[in-house]
Formats: sequence, structure tokens, C-alpha cells
Amino acid sequence: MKKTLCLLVIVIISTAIFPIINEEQARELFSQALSLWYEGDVIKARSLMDEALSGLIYVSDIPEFWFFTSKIDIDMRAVEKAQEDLKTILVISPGKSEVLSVLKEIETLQKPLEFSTPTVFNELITFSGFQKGTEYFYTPNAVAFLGDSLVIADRANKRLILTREGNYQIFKTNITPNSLSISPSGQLYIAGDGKLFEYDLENQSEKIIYEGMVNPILAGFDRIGRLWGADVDRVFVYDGKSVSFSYLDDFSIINDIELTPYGFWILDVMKNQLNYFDFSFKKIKSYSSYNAWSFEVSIHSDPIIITKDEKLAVILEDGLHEFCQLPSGTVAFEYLYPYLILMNWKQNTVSIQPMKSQEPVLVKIDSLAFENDNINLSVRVENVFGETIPYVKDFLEVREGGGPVFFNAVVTHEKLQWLKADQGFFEKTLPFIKRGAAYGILFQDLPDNWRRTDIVTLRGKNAKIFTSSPANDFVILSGGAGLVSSPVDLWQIVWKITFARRKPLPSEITPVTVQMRFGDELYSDTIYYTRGLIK
Amino acid sequence: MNFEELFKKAYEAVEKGELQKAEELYKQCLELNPVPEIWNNLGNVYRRMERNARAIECYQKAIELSKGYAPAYVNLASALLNLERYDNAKLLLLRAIQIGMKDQRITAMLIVCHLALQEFIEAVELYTLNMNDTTLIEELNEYGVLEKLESLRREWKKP
Repeated sequence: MKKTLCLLVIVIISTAIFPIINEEQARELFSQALSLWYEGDVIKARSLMDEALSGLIYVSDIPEFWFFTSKIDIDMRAVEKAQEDLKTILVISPGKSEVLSVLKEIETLQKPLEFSTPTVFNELITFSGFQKGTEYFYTPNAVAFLGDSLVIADRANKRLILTREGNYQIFKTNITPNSLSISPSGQLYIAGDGKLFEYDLENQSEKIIYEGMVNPILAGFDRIGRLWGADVDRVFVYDGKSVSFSYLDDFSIINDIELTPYGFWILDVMKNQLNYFDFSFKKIKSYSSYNAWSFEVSIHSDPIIITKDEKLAVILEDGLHEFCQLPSGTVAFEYLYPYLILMNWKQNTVSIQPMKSQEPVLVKIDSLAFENDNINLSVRVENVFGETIPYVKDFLEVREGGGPVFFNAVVTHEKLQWLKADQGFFEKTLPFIKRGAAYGILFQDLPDNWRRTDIVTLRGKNAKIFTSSPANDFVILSGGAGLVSSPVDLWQIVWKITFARRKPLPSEITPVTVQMRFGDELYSDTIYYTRGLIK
Repeated sequence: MNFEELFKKAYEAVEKGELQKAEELYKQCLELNPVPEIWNNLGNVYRRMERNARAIECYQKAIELSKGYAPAYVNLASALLNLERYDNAKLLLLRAIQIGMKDQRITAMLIVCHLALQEFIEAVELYTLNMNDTTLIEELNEYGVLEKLESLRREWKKP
């Protein structure tokens, strides 16, 4: 009897000193943790979530509490723990898309990317060269995405056509636009008539970057903002200041050139070969080109061509793999991941079809801010290699408190902030990087103390790793690059999404989800706001 | 024999039409001094022997050794022209002009390429600009395109 009394007294005392946290207190702790997390104090945020999870939680709040805790754990490099917790959430709340998205991201980034044959989805949109009796384009030969617009080059008419939300706008050029490329900061570059131009769409003016080439072809921008291209038998690079030329060891007539995160492919029509080089111009491999006269590259860096039978085929070490029949009359194509853009001279059309393999798309909400009655979000949509996916506006959906909202999305260009790189970066700096900006970290040589799972943390915080030495998978998957000698001005596309906050507050803990849908695939991210945060 | 002697003998062999001997001598030259001029000359020997693939390889070697060696670009273009690979030949001719090669033989080949690629405006423009040059007219006549160019020019002038 005495023993029982003693125990009861101890329980009463401990309950008085350490009271059990009730559901409302847990929500208050969640709100405080959220605020700290937005400010970048992950340690305090995690500690408050520990406290919150030790008490009572409304059953409906459990998935949100666990998901948010997992996000903090990922920020703190505890990716494996987060992975386990995310799997647990699926037991309680199966099919939760943001959880599935993070789990797929973790699983994909943890191991080397495996090849899978791309799937071509149904046509998304078709632009016709003739609209209401007006000829807009006649020989579409090159395309590029500019924010939520598609720019089409028409060689015969010497013009560019900007298509936006069903409207066409014509821009006359003084040169024959053979090749287009758009920089990460939104500048349009055109190659044609032996020249490289920068074209200002706002003022409709051209600025010559270089003239005196024979047949310049643009490949695109690498991860340190340099524009690559080829001119007959040489490769050129424009670094924003000057154009430099390099010859390949073997003589080639280059009819096309494409970049990958690790190097570049050239199509040598002299030898009917596709040759792959790293960025130090070392030849890595060579495939037959199967008499193609142009090519694109897949997300796995494999060449894709159109065969004589008008089929799309990927070229691998073991040969040609056809995977899609194209409409008759397709003369040219571009693959700007994840969009296949077909240029058809017979039908005089340019059509866009999503084309991707099984790798995930990463949607990341970097920040949430209140402005009067509106909520502003900074959102990135990236491929598995950390490259911005263009033209996503029509695929995005925003949900607040579980319900869809009308939103406005505009493209902005975020300048990369360079952080100090030291040996303790991964342990001491990475967990505390504040979300909401773009970061670059340049190492002379990558320290040994990184973990493969750190890629998930880096991608979550939008921090890219660069090295002066050649890049490895870790560097590339973070979105960074190798062979970088010093920090340079780099820009990244970020979507600024705005919507009117719902009133009254849908719930004490309101999830805000941004999702992107491709066929049956759904990729999303969720963050939260609370009444306390609004105050 | 030293390099100069070998080169002289090879040149003489070509003049005499002793192509196999010239081939051997140029190969020996290459062993002593692999310069682009020898690869180019060996390419010319192969072309006369109608061994086009070998000739193309030699011209490529010459260019690989010296990216600014214009005669190899012209000869390579000429070999490709014979093989009816007009698009590649055109690029090489433009490249030779860019490097600084000036020759009406190149202009003639370029006009032939433009015609074959149905780039009529470019062909006529180039022809009109150089039509007073007798060498060019002779070359174009040999390619059998003079009449077509004249008729295109007249059509062009009509409006």
C-alpha cells in the first residue's frame, strides 16, 4: 500500500513538473518550430518538434507533424531517419503525394541513375504556322523556352515567333536564325549566317557577339553560364566576355553539338559518328550516328536521333533502340527535358509532347511569405540532375489546406550566393544554411566527409557544389559542376507564385502544396503556415 | 635519302604519272617528317589513283596537323564534291575562305555546292559577283553548270 502511494506521489509530482503536452500545445510548438525553420534555426526547430511529438497530437495532425519533422531531419543531414519516418507516414496516410515525392527523390539520388527507356506522352500543345490567315512561320528550324513562352526560329522568313498563351508575336532578325539558346538569366542568343548574336526581345535589337564563323551551331549553356557551340570543325565557348575556339584532336565536320552535365557530344558527319568528350576535350566514347544529321541527348546523356523511318531512337553501347514513331513530315526536333518538340514542315506545325523516363521531377518550395492578404512562394522545379525544368506553368497546381487555389506564377532569376568552402562544410555549415536563396560552394577538392545522402540535403536547400577538379556524380547531382577555377555570376530560374490567402483560416496548421503532374505521375512539395505565423 | 631528296623524287614521280612510286616516296617522307604538306600531297596521289577514301583520310591528317592549312580543306572539299557530299564540301570551302584562301576554283566549287543544295540565291549572287573572271567561267563550264547559272541569273533579273 505504501509503495503504491509513493508511486502515485511520484507520478503526480512528475506530471506537475513535466506536464504532458496537449494537442493545442503541440500545435503551438509546431508553429514556433515552423517559424524557426523558416529563419534557418533547424536545431531549435527540431528540438521543439521533439517536444511536440512527445505529447498528444490530434490524429489529423500526425502526418503533418511527421512530414515537417522529416523535412527538418533532411536539412540536418539525417536523411535515412527521415526516409524511415516518411515510410511510416504512408502507413497512416497512404498515397500522400509530397511524401511519395520525397521518398522517390531520396531513393533515386542515393544510387547511380539507371537507364530506362523514355515514354512519349500525349501531345501537350501544337502551334500552327498559319493562324487566322496570317503566316507566322514556314520553316521552323529551332526552338527555345523563355519562361512560359516558346520561341520558334523561322529560317526562311528570318524571324522569331514568341508564343505565349495562344498568342504569337513576330520579331524580325537581320540574320538567318539557325540555332537558338537562352541563358539562365533569360538572354536569347542566336547563331546564323556565320555570326553569334544576343537578341533583345524587349527592344527588338541585335548585338553581335562574334562574326566570321562559317556555320555556327549552339549547344546550350553549361552549369557555369558558358554558351557552347560548334563551327564546322571546331568547338567554341562564349563566357560572357569573349568567344574562344578549340579544335578536337580528330578532324570532324560537326553538324550538331549537345551538352550533358559531364561533357558534350558532337555529330561528325564526315565519319558518321557521334563522339563524346568531357569538358577537358578528352574523347570518352564514340558511337555510329546511323546517318543522322542532327541529334539530341536524353536525361541519361545518351544521343537520341530520328531514323530514316521517322522513328525516335536512343543510341546506346549495344546499338540503336527505337521507341517512338513520329508523325510524317517531322524534319527537326529538340529535346528540352522533359519536352520533345517536333518541327513538322509538311503540316507547318511545332508541337510539344512530354517525354521522360522513370526518374523523378523535383518540386521544391523554398520559401513562404505573407504580403497583405497574399501568400508568396518561391518554387523550383528541377530535373534529377538539378537543372531547371522550363515551361512548367501549365503543369503546376497549388493547393492550400487541401483545396486548389487560383494563383499567379512568374519567372524570376535568382543570383547564386557563394558560401565559404572549408573542410567542415558538410558537418558545420550545411545543416544551418537558410532556405529561400540559391547557393554555390566552390571546393578546390571535395573533402572526404560527404555522404551520398547529402545530395538530398543540398537539393532541399538549393546549394550546389562546384569543384576545381573534374566533377563526380555527387557534384553533378547537387546541380554543380567541375573544372571551375573561381566563383562566377550564376543565375537560376525560380518561380514566384502568389495567391490570395483563404479566409477564414482553413485549419490551424495549413499545408500549402505545389504539385506538377505529368501523365499519371505527380510530384509535389508541401510546407505549412499557422495562425501564429500570420500574426 | 634525306627528306628533301625523297620529296623531290616523289614530286617527280607524280609528274611522270608514276603514282605507286610517288605513294611509296611520300610515305617515306612521312616517316621522316610528318608535315601537313606531305599528307596533302599523298592525298592528291590517292585521288589520282581514284582511291577516294584513302585520299580523304590523308587530307584529314593534314588538317589535324595544322588547322590553318587551307589547301587540305580545299582538296578535302573537292574529294567530297566528287562524292556528291555537297553540304560537307560547302562547309569546308567556306572554312578555307575564312582561313584566307582566295582562288576562283574555290568559288566555282562553292557555286556548284549551292546549286546542288538548291541554294539558288546564294549561287547566283556569287556568280554575278565574279562573272567577269575567265578562270571562274572556265571552271563552271567544266562543271557543266554555266548554262543553268545564266538562266537563273536572267530569271533573277526579270522582276
